[in-house]
Amino acid sequence: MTETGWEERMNGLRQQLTSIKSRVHADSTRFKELWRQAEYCKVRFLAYQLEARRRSLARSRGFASLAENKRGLYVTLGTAVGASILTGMITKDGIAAANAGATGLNRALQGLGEADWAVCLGRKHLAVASQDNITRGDVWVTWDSLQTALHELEERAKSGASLGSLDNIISELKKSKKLLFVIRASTGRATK
Amino acid sequence: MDPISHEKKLEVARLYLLGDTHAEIEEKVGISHGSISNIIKELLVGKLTIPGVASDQVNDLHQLSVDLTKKGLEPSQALLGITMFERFSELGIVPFQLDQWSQLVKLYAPEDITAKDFFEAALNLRKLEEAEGKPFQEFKQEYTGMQQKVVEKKSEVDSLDVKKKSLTGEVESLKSEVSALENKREEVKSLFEAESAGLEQAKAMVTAAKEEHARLEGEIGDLLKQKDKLSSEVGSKEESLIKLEEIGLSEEDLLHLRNLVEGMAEKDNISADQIKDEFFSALGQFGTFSGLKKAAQEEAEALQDMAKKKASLVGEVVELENRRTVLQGEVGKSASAAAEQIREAGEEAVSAIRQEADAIREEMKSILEDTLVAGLAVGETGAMQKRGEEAGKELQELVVEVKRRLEERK
Repeated sequence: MTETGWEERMNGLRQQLTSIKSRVHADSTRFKELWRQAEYCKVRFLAYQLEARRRSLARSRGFASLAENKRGLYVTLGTAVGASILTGMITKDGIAAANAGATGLNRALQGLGEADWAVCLGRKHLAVASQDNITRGDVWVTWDSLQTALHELEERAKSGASLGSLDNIISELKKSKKLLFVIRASTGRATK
Repeated sequence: MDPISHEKKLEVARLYLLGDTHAEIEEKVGISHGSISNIIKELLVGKLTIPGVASDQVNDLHQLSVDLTKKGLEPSQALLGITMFERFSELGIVPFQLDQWSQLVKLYAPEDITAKDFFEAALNLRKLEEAEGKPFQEFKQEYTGMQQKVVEKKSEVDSLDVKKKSLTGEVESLKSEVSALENKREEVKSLFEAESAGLEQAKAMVTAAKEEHARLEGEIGDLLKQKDKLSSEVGSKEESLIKLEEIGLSEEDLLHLRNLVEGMAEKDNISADQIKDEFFSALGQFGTFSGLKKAAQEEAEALQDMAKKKASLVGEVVELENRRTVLQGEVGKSASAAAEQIREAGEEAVSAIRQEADAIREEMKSILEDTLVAGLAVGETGAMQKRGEEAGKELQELVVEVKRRLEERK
């Protein structure tokens, strides 16, 4: 091989190597970002599911309280719903009237179902319950403190920490000093 | 008849609002049909009021309760229906669109998966899009792009492997070339050594020639001396013969002379040599008188010739000596110069080959290091990709596990 040919090939090889290195670096950065977002999604999904569960429970509690105190609550709720529907009817728009009534009802139901919430982070099950309805034998934490701990974990995931499986995430949450545990006293009432 | 208490009237009014008939109210409260009618009239005209309920809404609320009762609905069921209606409204679905929605679901729901799985997948997809802030198409494009890049990277790595093999082959070829040059250098070296041996041989030959020349010179000297001696002897004998011939003595006379000498020696009882010496002495004395001058002249001429011949021979010897010295010098110079040239050329060639080999080695080393770095970077990217895939898998598992644990508790 001539000296010029040799140098050309060497230079070409070097350029290719430089190009490969830069492209590989870009890909690596992109993969790292995707991986970090996946870790972040784990915490967000857990928070979202617990929130959905809490809302569902609040709605159920609203219905339950309505059923338990049929006479007293029915009149109040019925009046609120009827008034909203009548207000809607004034506008002569059926859908708008229904929406107005449903909004008032939903607000009333949510108000009825709200409580101090607690979350059980078990290895076999996850549960959300009002603090006056927690079960014995499980470890319960307050809803607000869990939200703070989840926020901390989100920040760690954003900064590139590996969270692993659900059990690992629960284990990490339990290590947080922000968590407040709820203990069911022998009287049946919960204390923090 | 006792007047009806205000609490009882309110009870009758609430039951009326709840849609109960007169008979049912009568049965529940225990007052007469007429009293119930009166209480309801008071309620309708505004004489009797229920806290929180306007009098003009009483009829509507009663009608609502009657309608619910006719349809066999509990108030909680009616509220559930209203909640569903609210949800539909939030989603922008009006009642007449429900049939279309149902047909749409049937149309787009795949046959091989259940509706539950389909909706869960759609929900997961929507959550992922919300969490990432990107549409699914973008995810798909990114995934496709990454797959293509992975394929490209693989092909590049393969190409680099091929180039590495090619370079390795070229390095081997260069090694063999270097080896061939080393062999050639060894050949040159052996040739140089052979030339050196030849030179030594030539020097030995020159020394032998010098010795031979010296020996020949000695022999020439001896021969010259012998020649001088023989010349003098021959000259004296010839002179004697000439003198004998001049004086008229033949060989027969000489034989007689010999016999005479021998007879005289026998007679005088002395040796023949002694008689001869006395005879020639006498003859010499005779010659001295007659041709001494001529003989002396001839002798001088002969001596001059001999001197000339000797001078010529000495000159030739000196010339030969000079020539030998010159030749010896020339041979030495040419051999030395040739050896020096050969040695310098060999050293230059070896140095140039070494420099080139060193430069190639450095180039190769640099490129191999770069290749190694690039390979490591590719490996790290692969590891990062694997890590991302594992995180995605963990995320899927987490979704399933969170749902399972929440469902289990229900």
